[in-house]
Amino acid sequence: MSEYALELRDIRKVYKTATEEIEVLKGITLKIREGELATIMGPSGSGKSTLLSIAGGLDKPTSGRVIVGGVDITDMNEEELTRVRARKIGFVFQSFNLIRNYTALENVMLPLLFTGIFNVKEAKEIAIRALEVVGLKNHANKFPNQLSGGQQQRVAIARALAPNPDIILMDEPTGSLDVDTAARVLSLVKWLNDAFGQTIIIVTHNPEIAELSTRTYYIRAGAIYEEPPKRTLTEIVKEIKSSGSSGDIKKIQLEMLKLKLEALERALKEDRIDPTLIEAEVNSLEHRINKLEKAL
Amino acid sequence: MSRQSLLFVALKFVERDILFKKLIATLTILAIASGVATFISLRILSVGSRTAAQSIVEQVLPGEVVVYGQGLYDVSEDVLNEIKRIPGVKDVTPAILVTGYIGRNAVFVLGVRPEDIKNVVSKVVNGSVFNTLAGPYAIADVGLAKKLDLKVGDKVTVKPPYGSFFRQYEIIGIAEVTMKIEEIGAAGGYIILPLREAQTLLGRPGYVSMAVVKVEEGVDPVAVKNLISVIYPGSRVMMREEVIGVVFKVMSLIEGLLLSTTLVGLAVAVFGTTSTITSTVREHQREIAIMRTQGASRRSVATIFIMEALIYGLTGGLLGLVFGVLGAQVGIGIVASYGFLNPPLILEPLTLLLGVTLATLLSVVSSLYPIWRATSIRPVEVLKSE
Repeated sequence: MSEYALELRDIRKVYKTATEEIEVLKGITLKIREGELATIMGPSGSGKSTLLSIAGGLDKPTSGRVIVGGVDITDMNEEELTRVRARKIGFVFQSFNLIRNYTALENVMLPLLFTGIFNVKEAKEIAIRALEVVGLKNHANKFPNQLSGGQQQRVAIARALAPNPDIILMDEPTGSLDVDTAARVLSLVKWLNDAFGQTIIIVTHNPEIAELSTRTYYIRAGAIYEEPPKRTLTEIVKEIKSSGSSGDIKKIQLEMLKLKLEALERALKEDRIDPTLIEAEVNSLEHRINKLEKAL
Repeated sequence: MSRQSLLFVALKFVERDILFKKLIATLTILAIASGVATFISLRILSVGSRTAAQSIVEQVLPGEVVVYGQGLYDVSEDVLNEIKRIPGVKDVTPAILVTGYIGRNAVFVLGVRPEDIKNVVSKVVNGSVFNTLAGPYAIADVGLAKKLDLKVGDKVTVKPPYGSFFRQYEIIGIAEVTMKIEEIGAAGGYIILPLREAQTLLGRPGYVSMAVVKVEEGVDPVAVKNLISVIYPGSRVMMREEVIGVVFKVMSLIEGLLLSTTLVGLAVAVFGTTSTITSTVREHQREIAIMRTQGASRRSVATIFIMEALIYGLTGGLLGLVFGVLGAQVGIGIVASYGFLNPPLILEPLTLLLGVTLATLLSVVSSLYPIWRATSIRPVEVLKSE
């Protein structure tokens, strides 16, 4: 399997208006390794959100290739992209974007059900674990409007995490939070990256977030520049770990990954998913399971 | 996505959507229910009225062939006697049926022979019936008696449709009249006179307005009809079924008018649903985009909103069914109170099913466009506004 969770090759994005063409991204090449916490920084209008949309299959590049978890998604149609998004990509947005008609638990269950490989019971089981990971198991049956901003963002993180995607894309995840709450959410993000080995890409203009990342990229006027990896906050992060030991969390993650692998194999047998997509996904999962088993 | 999962996601969404906006949901369901109720109650009334009219015509016309003249009352009794002699004819019943007046009230004047009273009166409520061909006696219809406060022993002055001539009759009986085939004309009720008295009142002794011909068993009524038409070319000869057909044509016209009213009701229901679903979809546009980012297919999102429309349609349809049946009962009561018809409450499963299906189908169909629009929007377009 590919060692990269995300590969962007020479991505260009041009927006056409009636009078002019605006080149927002000018041939961006980016490779994010598995388990990295990468930050893409840049001022407003620099194209960072466009880049994130393209990486997440929400938008199409004008040219270039997008490869997520070893699968080239560039030429996929909308429905194929939808299926890929369900299993391989998690999103966390600035304004949480929880669905108000669903409880916290149901919000987390949604992407699991949309994958088409989990039944309601399995989805519920995994969603409860994901909420446990973000420390919100006791709020599972609350609706978004009954939760604080920080809690809502943690639910959104649990939702992104639950299907064990290859990458989680975060667009200004602390943009709507106060300083303290933002710090808690960021500590959770960093801890998930450390403990779960979850690949996370954060788009932000907040330099403090960049301090947490393993790699930081700067985007300006549609071009990307890499800074050396930063590891200065490692010790700080160790101090702000959530409850539960790393071993327990790894066990939970291992169980979640095994559940996903079983469900995938079952879905393949029942011919519910495209076999061409599944190979890379199964390899990726087995790789992650092996890694975790070794760590335990 | 499995059907079970899709159902779970859709039902939870719709349940909360309806709970969170109770008033709009209730109003939409009521709008659909009112359309369906109008449709169902009018259908029940129509079916009941047709059945009642058919049974009346069959009761009133104790024969298979009906003979009319060219004018209102110009069928000669001599002709009737000759018709009676045609081979295959068993009996000929003459009758006069015209509009007249009691005071300023329009009434139907019915002239019959004493032996034919049983064909036009189903039940004598008070007093008795006449047993002679002539005499200043009259039987009042229950509806007319109620309207004009008539009692046995009262005297009424009856005027023919034209001229200033009038005659006075004593009410000797109050009865339920079954001969109500012309009630669509809506006069105020019936006054039954002995045949000769009716002829005198109209100034047409020896003439009647219609005659009902009963044929012998085994004889083809069509052959008798054709024979009468050939022998008496000046007459209008109709089969009983044709008379029923004419009655039904008139009723169909009225039904058509009523159904067009129903269509307005249904249109209101459709607009109500479209408007609710459109506003629901608009309201949830962002959430639709979020669902799409989470891996929801267009089909899954569409299912949620179609389910919502389906629930509105089905609930409105079932509620409309109940309201419709209750409304029909009220309608039957109103029609019966006029004393013309007493339509039975006939619940045709097809009508009820059609009402509910129509509501459900229209709700779903009317929701398709807004849903299609909502699922066509690329999530990135909606989320860009963040």
